[in-house]
Amino acid sequence: MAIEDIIVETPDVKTFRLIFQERKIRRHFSFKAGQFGKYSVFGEGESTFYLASSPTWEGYLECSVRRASKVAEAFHKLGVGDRIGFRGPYGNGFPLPELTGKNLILIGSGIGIVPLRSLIWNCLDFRESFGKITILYGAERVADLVYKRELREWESRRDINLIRTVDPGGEEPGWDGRVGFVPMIMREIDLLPEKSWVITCGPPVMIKFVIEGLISLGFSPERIITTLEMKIRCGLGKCGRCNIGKHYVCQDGPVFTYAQIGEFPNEF
Amino acid sequence: MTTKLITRNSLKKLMRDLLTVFEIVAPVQGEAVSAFQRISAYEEIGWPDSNTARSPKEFFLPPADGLFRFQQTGRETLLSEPANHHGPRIILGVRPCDAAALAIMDRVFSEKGIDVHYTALRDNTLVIGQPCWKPGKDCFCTSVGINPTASLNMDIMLTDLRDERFLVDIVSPKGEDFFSYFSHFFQEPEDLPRALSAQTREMVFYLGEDKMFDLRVIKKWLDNNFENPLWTKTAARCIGCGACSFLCPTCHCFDFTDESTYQDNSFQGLRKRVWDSCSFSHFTQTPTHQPRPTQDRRFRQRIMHKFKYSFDRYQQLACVGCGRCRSLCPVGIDLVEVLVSISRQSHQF
Repeated sequence: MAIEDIIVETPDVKTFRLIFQERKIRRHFSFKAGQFGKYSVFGEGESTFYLASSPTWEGYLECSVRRASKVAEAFHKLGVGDRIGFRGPYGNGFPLPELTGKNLILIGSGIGIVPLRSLIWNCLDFRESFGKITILYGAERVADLVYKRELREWESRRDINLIRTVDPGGEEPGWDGRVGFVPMIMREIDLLPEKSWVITCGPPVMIKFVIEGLISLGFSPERIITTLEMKIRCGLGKCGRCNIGKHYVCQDGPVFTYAQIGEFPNEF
Repeated sequence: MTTKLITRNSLKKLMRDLLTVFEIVAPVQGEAVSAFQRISAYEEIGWPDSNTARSPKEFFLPPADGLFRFQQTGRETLLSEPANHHGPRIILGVRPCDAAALAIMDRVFSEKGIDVHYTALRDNTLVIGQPCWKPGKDCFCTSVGINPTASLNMDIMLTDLRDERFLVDIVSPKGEDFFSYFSHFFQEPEDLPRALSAQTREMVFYLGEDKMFDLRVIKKWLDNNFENPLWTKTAARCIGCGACSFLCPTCHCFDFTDESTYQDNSFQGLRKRVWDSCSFSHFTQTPTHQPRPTQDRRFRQRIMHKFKYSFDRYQQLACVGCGRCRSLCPVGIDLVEVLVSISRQSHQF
């Protein structure tokens, strides 16, 4: 694939807009929100990143890369016009049919917003098919919020309730969002379990506290969806790395309900 | 299944012919350990009494296998097939445990998505096995349900009758094809009963109390004991070297790595698949998260995967009782000891 555009999101996150060189693949490639791809910088290796764009956007893909590994580092050094390798999509993706007609509560922090962004834009393209959409998104510091431009756009829409927050000490002059950790802010806003599904992505520690909070607010584990952070190599259920219990996260996940996760060995 | 006989002399002649067409891999006694190796003459074959120190796994899942080459000149990237040799191949002298291990790997690499690299090597290889008549000191195949004299999962089985003749069981369609091509080297087994009874008299395959455990009890125990002091106790001296995984004929976990150089104005290299192990800390380490930060958790993963997860996913164990992990663990961790203790501990309830 060729890099068509690069957006600097935060000091360590860049979004790459990518185009398949083969016209046939460009036309027929399809995926679901919540799926991931395997991206190669030849010579440096291959890494796993979510497909950050909406499946409804045609002609290109986007991936947002945090500079946190050797391959990500190499990615950040690339420029417009450079080529990368891609295989995918892999994984199950979010269960859109189940979400249709429901109120959606999306809770994320940091780079965890990436799969949610794909889902959000996907849902906004069929806005009338969903109930209320609430987004709670936080980061350590204001500078670490990914997709700032889109956050402003979502905030200005009347059909989305967006709550932004930064960790205590991460605020700066002019910050008009909230201050506090995501799981705490979650308890301050009125979240109603009725007809609602929660989708939460972020670091495992955040997910842990968010889910504990949701359960105490009366949300059912069957309606809490999360993505599992597990190192993924082959994406094909062979290399063994993302094995948890009888599952391979790359094939059976990365999207699981909390009810499913409850059945797994307690490795998180 | 068809049964034939072949004399040692005919086998030698057959091998001479085969070596002109096939790559032949057989057990060879090295200076330190016995292993499967490519041979160039019948005389090189080792015929050890029990299984080799190294399994034939490396001929189907090479320790470092080139997947594709890449070449970048300016902004153009060219991908090409590596120069892997996938010619017809015979692997000779495979034991029933290692043949069973191949069947386990076949499921992993062909179910839910076919791995072309593994299947290419598998499809091009004729597996000629041999039975075991005596267990090696670390063997425990019968404890995990494997019959050491069965031809299961082989294409052909050769049994040395120790009278300069071999009994030949032609097991699979692939074996039939091979036989029909070379049938003139073989004879009808006229005095089969006498030859076999001489063999069976020798067969003493009792493993002893200290290698006995109950797989059902172990599975049930694993289902309920993700948390148990046994993991920490047993793994206390594990140094995470991964030798057990590398020697195991069913361990198939791998990683990818790129090897590259800059030459002739272009950046070129090879993406390789290399063996990996759940015993290594980097196996699950991500930039932000480590689900298995200690050696006892990694040890637990290994046992759980072999005796529970693999069973839950594929309805098969991922252990064939070859005993290599116990004979060559540098700190003497003994899988059988662990399984026996689980089995006995549970019986007390």
